[in-house]
This record gives sequence, C-alpha cells and structure tokens, in this order.
Amino acid sequence: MKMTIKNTLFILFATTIFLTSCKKDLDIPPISELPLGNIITIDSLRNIYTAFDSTITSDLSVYGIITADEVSGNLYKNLYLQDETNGILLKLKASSNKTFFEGDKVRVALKGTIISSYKDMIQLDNVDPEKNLIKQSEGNTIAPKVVTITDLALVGFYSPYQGQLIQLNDVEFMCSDFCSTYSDPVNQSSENRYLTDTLGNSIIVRTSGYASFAGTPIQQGKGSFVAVVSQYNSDVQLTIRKLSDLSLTGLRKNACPNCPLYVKNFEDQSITSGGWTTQNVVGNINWGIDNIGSNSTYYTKISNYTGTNIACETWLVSPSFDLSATANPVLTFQSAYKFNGTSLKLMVTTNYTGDVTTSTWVDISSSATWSAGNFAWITSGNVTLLSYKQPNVRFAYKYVGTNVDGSTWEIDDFTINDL
Amino acid sequence: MNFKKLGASFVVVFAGISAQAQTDSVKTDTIIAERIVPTFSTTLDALEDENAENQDVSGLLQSSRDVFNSTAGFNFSAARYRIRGYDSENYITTMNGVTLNNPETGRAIWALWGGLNDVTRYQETKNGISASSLTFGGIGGSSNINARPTALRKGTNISYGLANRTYQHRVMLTHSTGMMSNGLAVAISGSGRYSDEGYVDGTSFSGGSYFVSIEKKINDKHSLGFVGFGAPTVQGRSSITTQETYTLTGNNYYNSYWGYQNGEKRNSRVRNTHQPYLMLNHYFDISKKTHLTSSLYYTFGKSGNTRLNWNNTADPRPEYWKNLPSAFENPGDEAQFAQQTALWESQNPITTQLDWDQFYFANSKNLFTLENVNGTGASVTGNRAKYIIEEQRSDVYDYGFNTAVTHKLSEKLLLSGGARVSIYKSENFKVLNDLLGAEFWVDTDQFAERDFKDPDAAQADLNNPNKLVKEGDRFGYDYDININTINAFGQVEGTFSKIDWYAGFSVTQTSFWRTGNMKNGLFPANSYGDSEKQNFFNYGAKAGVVYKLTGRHLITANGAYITRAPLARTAYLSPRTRDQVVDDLKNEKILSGDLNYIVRYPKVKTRATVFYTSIEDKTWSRSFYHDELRTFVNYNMTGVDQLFVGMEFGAEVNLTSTITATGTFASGDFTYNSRPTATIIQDNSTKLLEEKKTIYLKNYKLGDSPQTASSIGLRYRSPKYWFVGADFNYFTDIYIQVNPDRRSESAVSNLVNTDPQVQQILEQTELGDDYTINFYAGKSWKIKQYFIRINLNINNVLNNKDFQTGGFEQLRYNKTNIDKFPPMVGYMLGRTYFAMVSFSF
Repeated sequence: MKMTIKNTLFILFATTIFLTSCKKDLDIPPISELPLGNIITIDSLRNIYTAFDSTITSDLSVYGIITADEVSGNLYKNLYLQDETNGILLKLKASSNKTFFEGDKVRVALKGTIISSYKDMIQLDNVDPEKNLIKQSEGNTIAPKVVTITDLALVGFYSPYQGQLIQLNDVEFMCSDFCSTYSDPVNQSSENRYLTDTLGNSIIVRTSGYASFAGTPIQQGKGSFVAVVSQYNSDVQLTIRKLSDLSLTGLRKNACPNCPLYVKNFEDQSITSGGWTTQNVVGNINWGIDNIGSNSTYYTKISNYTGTNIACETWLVSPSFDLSATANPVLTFQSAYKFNGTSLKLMVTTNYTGDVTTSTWVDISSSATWSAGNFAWITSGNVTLLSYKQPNVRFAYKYVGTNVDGSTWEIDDFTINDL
Repeated sequence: MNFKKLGASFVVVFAGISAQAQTDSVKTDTIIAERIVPTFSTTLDALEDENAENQDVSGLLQSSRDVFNSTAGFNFSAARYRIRGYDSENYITTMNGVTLNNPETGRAIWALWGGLNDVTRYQETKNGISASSLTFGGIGGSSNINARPTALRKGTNISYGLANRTYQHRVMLTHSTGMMSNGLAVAISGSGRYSDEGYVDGTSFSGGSYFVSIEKKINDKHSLGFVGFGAPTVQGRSSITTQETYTLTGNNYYNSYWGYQNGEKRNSRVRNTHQPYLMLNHYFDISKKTHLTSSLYYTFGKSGNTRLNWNNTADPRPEYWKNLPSAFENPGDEAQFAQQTALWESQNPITTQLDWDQFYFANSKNLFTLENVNGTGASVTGNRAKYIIEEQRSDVYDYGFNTAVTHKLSEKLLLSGGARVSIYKSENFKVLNDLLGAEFWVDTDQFAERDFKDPDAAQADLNNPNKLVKEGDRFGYDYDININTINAFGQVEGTFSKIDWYAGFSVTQTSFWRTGNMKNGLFPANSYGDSEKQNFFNYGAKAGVVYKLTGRHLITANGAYITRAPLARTAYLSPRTRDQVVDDLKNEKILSGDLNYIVRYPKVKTRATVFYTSIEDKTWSRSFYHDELRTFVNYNMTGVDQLFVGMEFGAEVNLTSTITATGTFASGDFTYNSRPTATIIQDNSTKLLEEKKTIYLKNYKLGDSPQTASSIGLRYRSPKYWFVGADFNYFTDIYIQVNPDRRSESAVSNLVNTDPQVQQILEQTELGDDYTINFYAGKSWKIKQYFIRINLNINNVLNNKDFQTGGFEQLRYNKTNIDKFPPMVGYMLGRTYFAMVSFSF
C-alpha cells in the first residue's frame, strides 16, 4: 500500500510539473513593427519642410517629450514636442486635454500628418491625438535651454529656437505692461506683452485670452522666465506654459510708475461688477451701459428723458475702499454730458449705511473738472483724497432730474491712484 | 516552472506522507455528511448574473462521497472554484428523473429549491462522465434529487439556523410519514429565511419555500406520486465594482446598489423569483428485472430583477466612472479630484450611494406634456419620470414528459434508457416597478430619439406608439423564447470480476425561435411575431471502464463525445429588439476524457485523476450598457473553443480511530483555444458596429475559477457524538476574465510592437494567491426518541477581507488609457458563520 501511495504522489507530481512547465504563449493579433530606420529625429522632421506643405505618407515615427500642453488653456489643440535635437509645434485635429500632458514621452506616428509652415512657424499639422500620438511614459523632464533674447533672433527666416523650451534670465516686463494682466479674459482675445532684458532688448510674450491666467496681473519684478518659442512672420513670440514657470520677483532694473489701486472701466458691460450699486431715491430712472460715440469702449450713462423728462434722483455708489495705507490717494474719472439739467454730483462718505439717504455724504464735486457739454469727454484731473486716508470710503455719483429738464451724463474710467 | 503551484502540491504531498505512517483499520464514513453546506453568495454574484438568473447550481456536490468533490464543494466554492473549470451547464440536475436544467441557459437554477435543504440532501451524485440510468448527464456529472416521500427520513425535523451571510435566520420544518399502512406516503417541508441586512451593506433577503411529496402505492407494480415545490424569494443584491471604490470607501464589500430614502436603506437591484414546480410520477415495476419511471411536469413562474433607469438626466449611479475621483486624475483638474476624493472618503451617502430622495424630488418637478399618447392623438400633461425602477422579467413556462426504464438483462448486464419531451417558453420583458413619485414614463428610446429624423425610430412598440407607461405596465421590450426539446438516451452497464464498463448514447432534437410581442421602431420588419425556427440535431456517446487491479486498487477511464445545440440565450444578436441570429450558428462539440487511479482502504482513500476536455464552437454573448451610446451594446462571438486540462487528487486518511486527515489538490489549465469571430451591435441602431472580427483569444485563461486549489484538513470525531475540524485552503492561478475586443487587430491598430500599450491591452491580469481557514464543529444528543444536533461552520476564520476571488475586464475600454475603465473585481466575504440547532423525532 505504501508503494501505491508513493506511485500516486509521483504521478501527481509529474503531472503538475508537466502542466506548469508547458505554459503556452498568449495569442497576439497582428501588430506592426517599427524598424529603426523608420525613426527620425525632430530635427530631421523639421528639415522635411522646404517651401511647401508636405504630407507624410510613409510609416515614419518620431519620439519626443511634450514640453507644453493644453492644461492652462494658453494652448488649444496645440502641443510642443521636443527631443535632444529640436522642438516642434504639433497642431492637433482635436483637443488632447485630459490625455496628453507636459512630461509625457510620446511616439508620433507621422503617416498622415502634414509638415507645414504658418507665417514662418514650422509645425506638424493634422495630428490626430487618438491615432498619431502614442504615449510611452509619463513624468519625463526636459530642461529649458538658457538663452538670451538676442539668441532668439531670426537667422534667415527662422528663430533657431523655434518650437523649443527656453529660459531667459534677468528679464522684466516693460513699464507699458506694468499694470496689465497677461491677456484679456473678458474679450478672450490674445494679447502681446513685452519682456525686456538689462541691455534693452525686448521680445513679445503672447498669451491667449482663454488662458487660465489671462486675467492675472503680470509679475512685476525681474528674474527668470521659461516659455516655448513660436514665431509669427518675423516676430519671435514666447508662449507661457504656466505661471509657475515665471519667477519675476527680483528688484527691477527699470522702475515704473505705480499702478492704479482701482479701475472701473465698464468694459465688462456691467454696472454692478466689483461691488457697485445703484439706488433710486426718486423715480425709477437708472444708470445704464453704452458705447455710442466712444470708439466702442463702454461707459455708464444716465438720462431722465424718455420722450419727456421724468423727475428722479438716482445714485451710483462705488464699493468700499480702504485708503488707510496710501500716501497720496487721488481719484480720476472721465465725464461727458449734454442737455440742460441739474449737474451731476460726486459724493464721498465714510459711514455708508447701505441706504444713500441715511448716510452722511460730502459733496466733493468741485474738486473735479467736469465735461463742458455736448458729450465732450474730459478727464477730471486728480481729485485729492488726502482727507480720506481711512477704511470704508465710498464714492457716489448723484444724478438728479426734474420733470422739466435733465442732462444726459456719461462716466468712465473711474480710477484711484496712489501718487 | 510555477513554484507557487509546486508549493501548493507539496502541502498535500506532505499531508499524504505523514498520513501513511499511521495504521488503523477502523472504518469511517467520509466526513462530508456532517458538514452543512449552506447557500453561498459571493460578491461576484453580479458578475455571474448581469442578465438575469445564472446562479450556479448549488448543493450538487455537498452530498458527494468523493473526498475531492466534497472538499471542493465545501471549501472551494466561496472562492468561486469550479471543478475542472466547467460551467454549470455541464452538470445535469434531475429530480425523480426530471431534468431541472433550464433549456434556455443550460443551467439548473438554485433559486428553484433554495431553502429545501432537508429535501435536496437526498441526492445521488455522479461526478464526471459516468453511468446513470436516469439521464445521459453532462461532462461534469449529474445529480438526481430523490424527492419521493419515502426517501426522506420518517419523522419530523425542526431546525433553526443563524448566519451572517446572505440571510440571518432560517427556520425549517420537515415531516415525513414514511410508507403508511394504507399505501400512502407523504412528506412536507417548508422553510423561511430572512435577513434585514446581509453581510454586504444594503443587501437583504426574504425567502420562503415549500415542498409537498405524496405517493400512493396502488399495487405491487404501480405507485403514483405527486411532487410540488417552490421557493418565493426576494433578495436585495450586491454590486461588483472597480478597485477604486473599494479603496476610497475602505470597504471591499462596497455595494453601489443601495441608497437612503427617508433615512431607510433601499436597494435598487432586487431579485424577485418564484417558480413553482409540479410533477406527477408513475413508478411501474413491470417485472423484477424491469422498472419504468414516468413523469409529467409543469413549471411556471416569475423571475424578476429590478434596476434603476433614467431619462434625460445624468447617470445617477455613484460608481459611474464620471462620478469617481479618477475621472479627474489629470493635470488641470486637481481641485475637482481633491474634492471628489474627499467626498468619497468621507463616505457621505449622497456621494457614495444612490440618492433616492433626490430622485423623488426630480420626478416631482418634471411637468411634461406628451402629445399623441399611445397613438390616440390625445395629450397628457403630468410629471414625467426622470428616474424609475424597472423590473426585467424572464418568466418561464415549461411542461413536458419524461420516462426512464431499466432492465436487468442478466446478472452482469443492465440496460437503461429514457426519453424526454420539453415544451419551454420564457417571456422576457420589462415592467415598470416604481415611478418614484412621477406620473408616467414614456416608452421611447432616448438615443434613437436623438439620432434619427424619423420619429418612429425611437418607438419601442409601433403597435402602441408614444406609450405612456404606468406602474405595472410592460414596456421597453417584450419577446418570448420558445424551445422545444425531444431527447432519448440508452445505456448498457456491465459488471464483471475484473472489469466494469458502461456505454451510452443520446440523441436530441432542439428547435427554438423568438416571438416578438412589440414592433420595434428601428426594426419593424423583424421584431414582431414569430421568427424563423432554428433546428438542431445533436447526439452524444459516452463510455467508461473500471479495471480492478485488486478490490482496493482501481483504474478507471471515461470518455465522451457530445454535440450540443447553441443556447437560445446566446444565439440572438439583440433579442430585446429583433430576431436576427448570429451568423454561422453551430452546434458545440465536446470531447472529454479522464483517467483515474482510485485506492480504497478502510483507513486510506485516494483518487488521482487527469482529465482533458475540449469544447468547440461555443457561442458567447454579453450585453453591456454603453454610457456614451446610451444603450445596450451586444457582443457576440462564435467559434469559441475552450480547453480544460488538469489533474485532481484527493486523499482521506484515518490517522487514529478518531482523527481523520484530508488532502486535496487540483490544478488545471483552462484556456480559450481558438480565434473566435465577433459581431458587435447596439440595441438602438440598425447598423452593425463591427462584424466578422477576428478575436485573438487562443491560450488566454478562462477567468471563471481559480485554476489551482488545494486543501488540507483535520477532523476529530469523538465517540461521544461530537466532532470538530478545520481546513486550510490555498488558491492560486486566479485570472481576470478578458474582454475579447482588446484581443483584436483593431485594438492595437495604431501601435507598434514596442509601444507600452500593446502589453497593457493584451496582457491578462492575474490576481494574487490567497488562502482561507474554515472551521466546523457539531454535537448530537439522543434523549429518548429525540435527536438534538448542533452544528457550527465558520468560514474564513482569519477574517481575510483582501482575497480577490475574481473579476472581469470591462467590455468598454480606452486603448490609449487602459486604466480608464479598469476591471471589476470581487472579494471573498470575511469571517462568516452558520450555526444550526435541529431537533428531530
């Protein structure tokens, strides 16, 4: 009996070994191979472009690391790809957002893509992110090339760094952009800002109005700046990937005038944005928005004439300002008016109750220069606010009309500066 | 070389060697009689029965005297282990000779007799290809439940069970009169099972069962019997989800199906079944040598599964991929990712579960005017439901006749044979179960509404356009599957001194067709009325031999070749909407054989088996909800071949007169063995998504079962009527079920061999090895004529809650980011117990 158990166990063992050792290979569907000769560099890819667009019809592939993606919105249906030889802009047929990101190493299957040039920017066009881009790995880094603004200048038709990730050191935005945001998120249009180095060379920083940081004020100091290089005709342009690439925090070379503490320019076509309110003390005439005769910039406007004059008292009240930390605060605004009536009043209070009739107002209209009529715009000049260096300061425009007359008043560019 | 597997076999070998040192000759039974095998429910429930009711056969193995099979039935089933890897359609279950397997699914439905354990205990089980005088059987074996009243122990048995699994409480009462002097025998049994909440959150169980068996001995030759039984069951079910939800909630039994309504837990997926079974049996002893058993049977009843449906609103399921943090796991969405993660981790039920109160609120605020209601031109204004609970029904009506005869030709030869006729129909439709406070639902297809100019296209039923649906109404789809089966089999068994043998054959004619009860707007020509009939002629042949080396050493071999008609359930491309069958519908061909070495000493019993089974030309179908197409997509494959090769070993050794050791080991290689052809269609479009698509599936592992399992156990049985035992079970080679579409040329079409996606798309995920320890004990007393027994089972004593027992790849996938739709996985339940006290007299 012992023998039979041993025999049984032996058979068991042998079978187990047999079963486990003849592991069968999994079936594999037909898969293309990629011969080494079909792999090209980004530099050779760029060189395929001569003078005409060229559709790639062979099974070539290029490998590279994505240096700029669509996450911040500054690029849309665009990616920048770079390898050790060069960089290139990829124009996508559809957005790759949520799929391809900075640091992804990808293979670009070039068949069907088009190497072309748009305003002297060489690009790989017609890239289908679902078909032409194949992610190889994530989290790769490519160090930006440290260059100077003059290095970026055109050599022949092209900037030598076109499509590449670069870093400028010791640069600052020019004073003309000192008080600007990166772009125009309201109209969602792209805007140029200018970066300058310590030698006075300058370069365009172009940012989309769709970028998540379009409405962010620019960094005002001097320092390092990382971006990808593009080109529009003979203009070399830098494209910011994300704000954390910028470190403009050092002391500026060129000092700029202070920026306004507050601007209300009605370009968003809203009266109440930023905390403004209107109140009808008498009647129901209200402040509105218009841009007639103003080169399509918007302003606020009030008139009590609706076929006849209607008696009214309507206030436009600013948000609360804290001027306690200012040195020499001043208010400026633009005004224009036409037609006879009670003149518009500029009022100020430090104890606003929420109700204009119960707040204590001081009439400072006489400190401002007002329009001479006939809708002629005039700037108010600096209305000094030295007496109001305190919290909870509010301003108001008080409009009064009667049932026999009333002016039409227009106000724009309400600005508080600290001189 | 697979060291894990070798390691597992070492465990058993060691047990075997240490066992043989002992000598004893006390005869003991196999231990299984003392084990209670309650109904298991794993969290993979949902995996098995997405489409209705494909529960595995249960109880088949529990009374087996074979060490391996009893161990597998008791210890391995919680890990979803399938003996030899076989699907349950390969096991035939009969009662008094009447086949209980459903002709449409091929499977015997456990729910039919759930809770009737006192009855189903009396089974005659044949493992593997084997001789049976009642049925031709399947390659997995066959089991006959003897439901004659005299088969039940005379007397009364009352028991109470307490558990923490599917149900908490079970009471059971069984009484059998035995054969009374008037020639009448009666047995009755009934039980109730209940749980307000089962092991898994949000699950519930409420089930009753009844059984009546009456037999009248008319004279020495004739007896007439009646058997009626049923088991009305209502069960709140549990989901299977991706690992992400388990990790986020810290709960491997996270169940997405329930939510709070007015502070009460409510489950959206409730199974409600009740299918009574009635049979009349005639037992005719024609002579001492010839016996004839004939039966008429009728079974009918409902099988429903509820689910949430919604219209014109976002997918409300908490586990829907867009509601999970991973949908935001990319640069730029960090804030949403953090927010969604925090919501999930806080286990706020508004996020992690269904929000019933919100469904009711939304349904109360959706005033809508439906023009041309039911095609009458009238209009109705009211709150149109955004959310409803619908019940998908599959109601069965099956009647037939069965007869089996045995004739003893001589002392050495036994002839048997039989015939069976079955007329089967299932009605498949949806019923509006709960409007959730709204006033009506409109029976149009949301997607077709959007994509087709023709307004008819969106209609579920052109005979009843713009149907306004109220609670209790049928809607959506409504079709019958009809299956007529005629079968005959014959067998001869020979018994000789050195050799026993048997040989059998079977012929079957199957005819099935679809009857559409709605004229679908997209398929007006082939959705309504009777379809063409599909006819199949099948045969099977089997033979086996036992060679007796000595009375204690046997070598047996069995073989079978069987053809099987394709299942109606997989034959139709989109049975909900039309009667189109898959191209090239073929019979399945099964070739199977095993070779066994059996040792039978009073103190040592072993069996070692090697087996080989090839199943060719299976038809495979699965249907899944595609959230972008907003419809069901049907994935059908033909020419699916499967190969099952492996070995089994079981040993039981009596170490002393009171201590018994058992060891089992099974290892197999269960794989796909062909390149099937796929057809992919969606329910709500006339165009095929894809056809004649080659699937490169050969050698992928079947993911239905761990492929290697082993166990060692020790049991002490005191002469003073108590026993205690424990088993250590180890599982390995557990694979995730593959999505065939990922193994196609188009899945890798843009890729080259060096791209990492190739591996990610093609490789098959293997889950980790794991083990369990199960414990059982019992004691019995006899006080006068009363027997009292106490039994206790504890499964997974170590409370291992990290045992992934299986899963499947989602049919939907994103080839550029394969992790976007990760596999669904399920876990074995942690420590569970079943305690029972029974009282019989």
